[in-house]
Order: sequence, then C-alpha cells, then structure tokens
Amino acid sequence: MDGDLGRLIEEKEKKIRDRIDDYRDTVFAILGFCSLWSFDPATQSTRPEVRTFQGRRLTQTISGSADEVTPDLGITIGNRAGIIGEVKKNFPKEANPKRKADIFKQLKAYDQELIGWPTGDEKIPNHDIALLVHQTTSMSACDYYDSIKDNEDSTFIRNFGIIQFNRADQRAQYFFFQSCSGVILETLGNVDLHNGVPVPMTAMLSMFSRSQLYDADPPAPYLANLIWGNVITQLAAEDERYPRLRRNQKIELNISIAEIVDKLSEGFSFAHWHTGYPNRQPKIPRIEWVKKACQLMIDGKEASWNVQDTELIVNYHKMDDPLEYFIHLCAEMEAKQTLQPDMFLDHP
Amino acid sequence: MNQMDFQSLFYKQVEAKHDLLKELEALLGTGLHTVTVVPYGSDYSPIECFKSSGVNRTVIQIWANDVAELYKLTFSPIRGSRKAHRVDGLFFVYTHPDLPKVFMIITIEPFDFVRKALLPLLEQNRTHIYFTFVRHKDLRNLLQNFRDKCRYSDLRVVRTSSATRFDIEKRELMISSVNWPRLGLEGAFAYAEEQNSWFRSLTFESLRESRVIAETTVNRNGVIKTDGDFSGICEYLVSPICQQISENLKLFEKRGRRDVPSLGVRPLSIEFPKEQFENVEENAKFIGAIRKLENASVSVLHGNPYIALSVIDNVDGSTFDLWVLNSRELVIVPQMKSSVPGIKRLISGVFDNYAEGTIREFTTGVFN
Repeated sequence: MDGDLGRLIEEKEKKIRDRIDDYRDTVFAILGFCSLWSFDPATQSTRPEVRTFQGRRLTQTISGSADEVTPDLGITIGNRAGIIGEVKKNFPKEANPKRKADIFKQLKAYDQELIGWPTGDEKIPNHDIALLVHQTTSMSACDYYDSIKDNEDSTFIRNFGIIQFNRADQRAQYFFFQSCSGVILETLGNVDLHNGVPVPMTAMLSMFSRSQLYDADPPAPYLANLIWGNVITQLAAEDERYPRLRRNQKIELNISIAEIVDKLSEGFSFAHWHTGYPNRQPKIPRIEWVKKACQLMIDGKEASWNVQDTELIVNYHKMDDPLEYFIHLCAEMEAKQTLQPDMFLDHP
Repeated sequence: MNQMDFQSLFYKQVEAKHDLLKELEALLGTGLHTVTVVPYGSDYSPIECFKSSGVNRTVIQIWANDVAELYKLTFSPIRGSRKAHRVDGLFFVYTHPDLPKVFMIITIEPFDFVRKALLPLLEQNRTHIYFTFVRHKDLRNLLQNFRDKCRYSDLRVVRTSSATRFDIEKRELMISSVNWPRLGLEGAFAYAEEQNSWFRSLTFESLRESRVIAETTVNRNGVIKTDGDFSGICEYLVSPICQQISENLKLFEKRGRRDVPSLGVRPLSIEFPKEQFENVEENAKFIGAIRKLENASVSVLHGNPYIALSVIDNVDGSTFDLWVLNSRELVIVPQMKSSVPGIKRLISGVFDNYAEGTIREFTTGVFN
C-alpha cells in the first residue's frame, strides 16, 4: 500500500506541477496577446489609445438577456473597435464533442453586442473574437471549428479567429502567436498573425510579476505559495524575532481571509490594468480560492481557523521550499482520496 | 614609551579631533599594531545600528565628535563554554565625509577581537548593515591599481582562501582551500584561473624591490587588515570599496514594490561574461547553487527550459523572483518587500555559489 501511495503521490505531484505550468502559461498568453496591441514596437512604448482588460463582466444584449460573460481578455482600440479573447491552453483532443461544444458555446456568447466595455458609454461598435489555444491542441480546435462552422447556430457573425501559441526557446525564451483558422481583422501596426508574432518573455516579465493571478481558480499549492511568501512572511518579518527565528521555532500570527484577498488583489492580479474602469471587475483572487489555499495550510497543520472561514491563526516557521511542501501536501491528500475505496476493500 | 602609551596617545589625539587617518598612519609606524577597516553601508546611524548587540555582547559609546565615534565592545562567552574567553576592545566608526550612508569601522585591536566580537556584532545587525562584495575580477583590478599607484614593485601573495569549482559526473562541487602560494600578484591570479578558483580572501606583502613595506589582507566583503602604508591602503583600497558600497546602495535601494506608489516592479539583472545557460544541465547546477543560499527559502516554479524561482530572504523577509530567460542573464525581480541588505545577500550568494557577473538595471530589450 505504501508503495502504491508513494507512486500515486509522485504522479499527483507531477500533475499539480503541470497544472501550475498551464495556469502560468495562460497568464503569459493573456499578457503576450494583449501586448501585441498595447505595445508599439516602433516607439517602444504603450499605445495610449489601447486599453486592455481581464475578467471583466460584460452584459449580453440579445433577446433582452441580462446574462453576463467574463472573457479572459479584452482589448479596445480607441472607441472604434475591440477584441474579446478566451484562452484554452489545453483544447480537448479526445473525441468528446461535449467539452468542445461547451467552449464554442462560450465563444458564441461573445458574438453579439456587449455592454460594459471600458469606454465612455460602455459600448464599442464592433469587435472580433479570438480563441487562443496551445499549438499542441490547435489542430483539434481547428478541426472542430471546421466541422461546425457551417451550422446555422454555430456561425460567427463577427470576425472569429483561432490563434495558436507556444513557448519557444532558442537563445531567448518567447511566446509565439499565430493564426491557424479564421481571421482577426482588428490588427494594429505590424501585428502579423498570419505569419506569426514572437513576444519575448523578458518583455512580459514586469507585467507577469504584477499579475500572476487571473480570473480562474489557481492550483491551491500555487496560491498557497504566493500567500506564504508574499503575505504571511511579510507579516512575520515585522516581528522582531524573525531574523533569528530557527527552523524549529514558530511565530503565531493572526490574519483574515479578507486581508489576504486584498493584498493579493493589489499586488498580484490584473487590478492595475483596471484603475480607470474598476467597475465590472470582480476582485481577484476570489475568497473561495483563498479559503481553499488556506485549508491546505490547515491540513498541513501550519494554520487553524480562529473564526471559521474568516480568520486564520498561522504558526509561521521558515521553510526550505514552500511550493514543494504545498505541492506534496496537496498530492498526498489527493492520492489518499483516490486510494480510499481500495483501502476500504483491503480492510473489510 | 611602551605600547600602551602609543595607544592612549592615539585615542586622545583622535578625541581631540586630530585627523584619524594620519594618527593611524603614525601608530602603524611604531610597528606594533595592525589596523582593521570594515567599510559598510547603512540607513541607520552607528548608535542605532549597534543598539541590538545580542545576549553576550555589550556595546557602549565612549565618545562621539564630528570626526568619529568611539565604542567599547565586550564579548562575554556563555557560562560553561570552555574554550571561549571574554574579549573586549575599542572600535571607531568613521562616517564617510562624501558618501551618504557609508561608514567605516576602524579598530587597532588584535584580530582575535575582530573575529570573535566585532564581526559577530555586525552579523547580529545584518538587517541594518551591508558590506560589499569584491568580485574576483574587481579584486585583481583593485590590487593592480594599488600596486601601480603606490609604486610597489609587486604584491607578493602569501596566503589565499579560495573556492574551487569541480565538475564531477555532471555534479558540481565547490571545495574551499587555504594556500600559501608566495607568488606575485599576476602569478597568483593566473594560478587561480587555471584552477577554476576564486579568492575569498587574500593576504599580500607590498614590496619595494625586495623590502616588505606592509602585509595586508583583503576579503570578499571588503574587510581590510594591514600593518603599514595606511594612507595608500585608504586611498586605493578602502576608498574604492566605499565607492562601490555607495554605488550598490543607489542601485539596490527602493527596489521593493511597496517602495513605489504604483506597486510597479524594478528588476535588476546579472549579466554573465559568457553564454552560461547553454544546456539544461546548467539549469540544474544553477538551481542547486541557489538552493545553497544561507538563510533563504527557495521554490522552483520552472526549471527547464527556462528558470523561474521564488526566493524568500529569511533574515528580513525580502522576496524575489529569479528568472533565466536567455543564455547569459539572470533577472532578479524584487517583490513587495526588498531591502538593500537582502539584495546584497542574494547577489553574494549567486556570486559565491554559482558565478560572478555584472549587476545592472534590467531592460527588456527591443520588442518587435
């Protein structure tokens, strides 16, 4: 059983690391794609007429529906045009039409006049729609789109394009964006999606360092690591015992979930993109994600609830590798949950 | 006049606002003393810096004038400790006249006092105090300049403490050693390069023809000990080190995101002199080297093909993201809190455990 558990934990750890990688790559894809419009290579500066947003609530207008959509990314070019994008790094490759159909249903919801753009009247006359997928799954996305695009209820009225991206390493690391189906017409400058555009990761580094969380639930160990290093450690460091705190010594700290959410929101989300138009922008990270990450700390006996779901008592101590620790903890719990039915059978 | 008389006279002269450096030169002329200089940077005044002296050390200010401040430091070993004995001594803190936030601790006490009492006191206050790092290449340039400007025929290297890097079956080992090479300056550095070594400290004799004028030790943190030619040492060794501390301070301060109203980032980069990250094995070596940082937590977010690490400085809670995105550059992104000593500790760790490079403001490069 120990051997099975050990192997399973290793497998789970690898999967968690992959999920963290996917999450961070999605952030890079959002930043890179938006920077194709917001950054002017000719002047090496940002274009003042371009605004970008992430996770903004836009209201649908068809049939008087008041439903809201929250696309992964949005771009406005002055008051004349916009682009809405959705990133699905791992577009389903398996023959499961339901998941593919759900993604296109989500995209189709953007294919109408939307209210809530970061403009004076919250409207934009026209917008294009982009689906961003990783290169390894782009053929699946293109094939599926080819198979449905002539159906009356699946045809896009607006310009629609599938953009594949990948991370490439030659002498320097960069993200490469290239159109593989459909068309995005609202391009600026030399954005040549047909032939593909590279965006160096160094050019996105400052942005990424400020925006490591977007409006999707991050893997709990990733969020726990961010909280541990950038919120809880900062609080612990204010204690005069901190510099000489030994590995086996602890500092007891009190912190509320709301405080953690505020600190991460101001420091690690896309909030700084939305300072001019903060309405319609939900606070990221969401409280429930933070609670989940804090629950991981509680499971690891690093913390306990002072007030259930609201306030934590953290037994802070210095760790060699907080991320590794939280990944292992999460993997161990997932593995035990997976093995539980077998354990039950072994011990009737 | 006995040794104590020279010393008493020296302290009296300095208190009477005589030129400290000239008085030290005169004292060294007696041939009875060595002087140790510890240049450091701090945002705090000396008296604030030494407020926290630890459980077994006491620091008392004897006097202060506009030239210097004199302190008495006493180290009392923990009761029951057989080997350690009580050590006490005096040290000056000299505020650099031209470089803000740069100070020099100067003492004529034996090195036993420096090693057992003074340096641990500075270590105790490492959240307030930072030294510099004299890179191997800079040490060579510094000593060549000192030799030429002071018209010495050569500097004979008599003792070195060095680190040597070995690659054994794709694993990297760092071995420390102490040697007594008795080589000229150029020979000693050529030998170190041949051995893939760099100096942590180096003791040399300043020679005029075959006459030894002084014996001096310089270490990687900029601590200097000498028994002669104090004015030459001051002008061509201490002064450039103080200048470097001042430049580092300007480069490292206000890097934390909380120091900027917009919470924007102000990254630094270390450019290595060669294509350092040409293969993925090098990534593992680099990550291994960073994991060896003293007093730091290191998490690997990505290790191959690019490197992304998050580092917590366990001394003051500074946090950094480290990125390697091309073959010769390490980018350091200070996060919410970043102190000057924290950055210095991180960069010293990179230089000591991995490789030396040039520190500069990070630029994204051309984006097209």
